[in-house]
Amino acid sequence: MSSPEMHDFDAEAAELRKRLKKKQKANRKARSTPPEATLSLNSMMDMMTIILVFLLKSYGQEPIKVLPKTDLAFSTSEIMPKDMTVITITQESIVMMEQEIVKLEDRKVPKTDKKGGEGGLIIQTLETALRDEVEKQKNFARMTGSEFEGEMTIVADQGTPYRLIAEVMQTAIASEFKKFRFAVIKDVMVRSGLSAAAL
Amino acid sequence: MARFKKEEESNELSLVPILNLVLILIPLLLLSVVFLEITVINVTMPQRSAGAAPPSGEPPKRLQIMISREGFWVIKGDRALPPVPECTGRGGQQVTVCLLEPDAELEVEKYNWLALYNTLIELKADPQWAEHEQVELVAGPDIPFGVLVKAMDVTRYQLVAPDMDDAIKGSSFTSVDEMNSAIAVRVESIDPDSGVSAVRPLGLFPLVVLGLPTTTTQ
Repeated sequence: MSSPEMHDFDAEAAELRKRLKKKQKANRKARSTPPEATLSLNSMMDMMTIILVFLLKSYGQEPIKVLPKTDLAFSTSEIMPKDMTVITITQESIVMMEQEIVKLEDRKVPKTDKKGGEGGLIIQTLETALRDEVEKQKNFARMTGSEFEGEMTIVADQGTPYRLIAEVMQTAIASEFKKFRFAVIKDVMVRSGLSAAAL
Repeated sequence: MARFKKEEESNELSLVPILNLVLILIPLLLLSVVFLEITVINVTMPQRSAGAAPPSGEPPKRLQIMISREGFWVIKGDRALPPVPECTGRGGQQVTVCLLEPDAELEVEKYNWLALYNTLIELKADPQWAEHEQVELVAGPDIPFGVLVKAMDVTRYQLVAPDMDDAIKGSSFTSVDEMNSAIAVRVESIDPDSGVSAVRPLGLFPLVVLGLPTTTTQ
């Protein structure tokens, strides 16, 4: 037995040991790497789907849009609103179908805009706008074979003086509107008869 | 081993894009959602030119409530009802129902809604007025809209104490708390529009006709 042979054997053993070690290391490495991390999103997806459906259901249910600077009054009325001509009386202006028609001065229509000055009940710019609207609705009614109903919803701020309400209504009457509805917030305590929010 | 893993991966749905979409949609919808329910009150208003006297052929049977800065005038036919007991002897203009708290901060709180309701329910008990449904509301030019809505609320339903839910007509109340906790009388009636019979609140004077603002009050 010569030393080179011995050396050869030793080298082979060392090589083998080295390879084994490498394999073990690789094995260990493979075992210790965690499986690819996945979140279980199923329950969250369920929840979100439910919320989404609920929100979609309540979306676009409101035929009346309440503009800023308009505090609605609370009421016990249970009649549901319909889609129709909407006039909003905010604290600063009169708005028809989301278009500002008259700018108010201290919750009053400027007297230059009224027929017959200060004591007049007809608001001129509003009347022009309403007549156009009536014309449009009548044309539409004629085309669809229905009848022009002349219904109007008034969305008014709580603090609007009665005089202004009456002026808007008289103007609307002059332009052939007949039925009026006041938009209010349904009182939470409907069953309890009278508004608790107001008292 | 490797093949098995691959198969498993392809089996799983990739929910991430959907999740992204849902996450965006939820705040968007939450922002636009309206939690307050809006209802409407039906009213009518006769056309009348300013300052013209009411037509002479007016039916005598009409109930009118005038809201002024001093309180309410309840006008039955062509004459105002006498002041309620707590309002007599105050001098000045004799309103039927005077103010409850003239110094209250909110306009709505100034008025004595309880006395107004009691006056009306008493009137409704009169067989002559039992079938009458219409009330004419007139207010001073500066009366805020909120007060008007409240007046329409008071005239809308007949109320009873919550423990008397089988009552067939409303009763009067002795305190504001009592009235606030009251419920509307519910009876079976036929809806005039659809002809369907259902249990619904019993009206007091539910048909509101608005009059032109009075010019006599400040």
